[in-house]
Amino acid sequence: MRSRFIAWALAAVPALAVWPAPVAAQDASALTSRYDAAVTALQHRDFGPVERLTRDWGRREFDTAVSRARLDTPTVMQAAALLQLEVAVRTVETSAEDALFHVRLGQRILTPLAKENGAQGDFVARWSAVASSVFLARTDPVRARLAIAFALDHRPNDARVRLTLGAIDDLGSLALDVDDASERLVNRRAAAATRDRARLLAAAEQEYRTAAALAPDLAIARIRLARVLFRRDQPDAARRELDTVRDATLSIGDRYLWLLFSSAVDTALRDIARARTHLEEAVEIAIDRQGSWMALAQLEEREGRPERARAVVEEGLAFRRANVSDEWWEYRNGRFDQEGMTWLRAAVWR
Amino acid sequence: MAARRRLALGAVAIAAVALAAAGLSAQEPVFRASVETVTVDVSVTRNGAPVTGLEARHFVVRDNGVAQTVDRVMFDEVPLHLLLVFDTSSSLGTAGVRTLADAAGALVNALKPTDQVGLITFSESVDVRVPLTQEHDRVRRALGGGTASGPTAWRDALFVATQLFEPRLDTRRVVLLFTDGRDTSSWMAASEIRDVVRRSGVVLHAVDPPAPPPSTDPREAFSRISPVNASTPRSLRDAVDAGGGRLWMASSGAGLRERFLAVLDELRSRYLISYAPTGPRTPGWHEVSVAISDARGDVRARPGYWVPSPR
Repeated sequence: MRSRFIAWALAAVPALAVWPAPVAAQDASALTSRYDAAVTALQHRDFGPVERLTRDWGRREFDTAVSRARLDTPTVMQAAALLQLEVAVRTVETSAEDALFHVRLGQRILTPLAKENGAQGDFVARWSAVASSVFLARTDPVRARLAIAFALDHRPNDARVRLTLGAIDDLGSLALDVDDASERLVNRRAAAATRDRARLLAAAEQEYRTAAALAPDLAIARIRLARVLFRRDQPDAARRELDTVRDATLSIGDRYLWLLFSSAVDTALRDIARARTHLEEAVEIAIDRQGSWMALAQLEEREGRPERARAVVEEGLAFRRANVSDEWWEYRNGRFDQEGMTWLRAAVWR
Repeated sequence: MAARRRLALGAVAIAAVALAAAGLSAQEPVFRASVETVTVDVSVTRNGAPVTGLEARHFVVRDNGVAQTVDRVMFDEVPLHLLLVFDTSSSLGTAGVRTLADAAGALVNALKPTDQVGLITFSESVDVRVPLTQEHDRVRRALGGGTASGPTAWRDALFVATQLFEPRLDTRRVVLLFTDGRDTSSWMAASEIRDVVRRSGVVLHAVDPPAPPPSTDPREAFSRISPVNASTPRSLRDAVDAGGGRLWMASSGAGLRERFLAVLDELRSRYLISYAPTGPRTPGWHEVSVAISDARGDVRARPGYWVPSPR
């Protein structure tokens, strides 16, 4: 049974009540030709036709073209699905519902490949995770869940699918942190939110554990799992999870998150020296991210070192760079899977 | 040469000063040897209007329950050091940013030449646009041309603000925070911000903006459908209480300018009262209560101050 929060949130998403009306045959032929050409161009790294289709076409044109397009090989199917994803990325800022429409078209295209093993199945899973992240990046766990449901149906034992589901539950729970509950809330509503938060955290924990079991080298699953455990007031368990990937080869972003989350666990376990060491390393490896500076300054202030806190704040502001993202912000608000998108493009390009 | 160490904690300040200290400036108050001084920023109003003309004898102060003797009262003589901390996240909307700039401009125009003002803006990132300065034009210029985007990190922004004041006895250190209070990006937990404000000694006023029009941004819609984000969060109100200021609600864009000017009026009509504390100087939080006698009025003051542990 869906949680009350999920049901409530889904009710806020308008359904696709009306599918686009059909286009005349002559027009349909022209649309299909143009679509086929855009798919081919994308395979040759030419984004121009995709940009033009996004600008010129509405849902009806895309639906017509996809229905008639020559998608007769896995290679072409993958390229067409990527095209739909590219359109979704370009559309989501103006209309999340339009973006979801294009994701659904992409799912339709990939359905024949969905249960395949090997490279084709991997493509479907990866595509679905990226499609879901289009909405996660806009802090829209409802549509993100709709986007990943296709992969969950066909590829339930894929680590990236499980990781994405965990991220969706995790993000949903963050909106329900009742630390910030207003006194105007009826206690009952706050209690309901608390229950929903607990349910989402438990679900996120399970998804992350499943992802880590399916892909032991997927370190980010352990890192996120640790954060969920920390938020469930289990710092010792969080510490153990973080320690499993302490010596793993991590990207800068994953290492940065590992260090931030470790410092929080260390602080909860009152190992302040260790927390400080972790934060100082985070500052060192990602000097233009604000999160680590902020965390280090706050630690110093809390531990009665106001001069040091002030100095850290001033140093951090001096290193501040505009338009530099921060994996902490992305964790907190959702992120687009740019690495996955790059992988998909490379898989499609000839 | 006796060392002179001053621990100013904003509006409530403790100064430990020894005799024969070199480098005392003529502007700095002179204290007796080995005496600490606590300064409390107090608002006294009656029916919403400030009560003026009060003297030391009118103030009844208790420090951790121990009665104190007020030995100095200042009223509107002390320069303001005012940090404007403004939310420019997407929850505000671009029109809201323009309204905010207009209201803040009116406030800056009403400052005295001896006042200092600075500007911090934040969405998920915190930007010190202008540090505290007497060059008010710098802040006026920085107020224009902003847009609203991104999530909100007001707790981290407020933390940064509390760290940017010089610890001094002879200024009022005030933060004016403008935010709807829905924090989605701060590293600082909601449960921690109140104690940060306590330890800082600044006076904190917060203005809750008028409700923006319905948003098509799912990020904003998502944060609003959550039942726990329905109104001003408790953590923001606790922080304001800890800072001895007020939470002001702006019902409309036009009302925002009035609110900002009202905040300034309140700041100008506050007393700074000082006393040499008697009683144990235990590290940690000292609760201060202020009442008035031989006069009527509602008193609002920082609820206490922090004594750091000796190092």
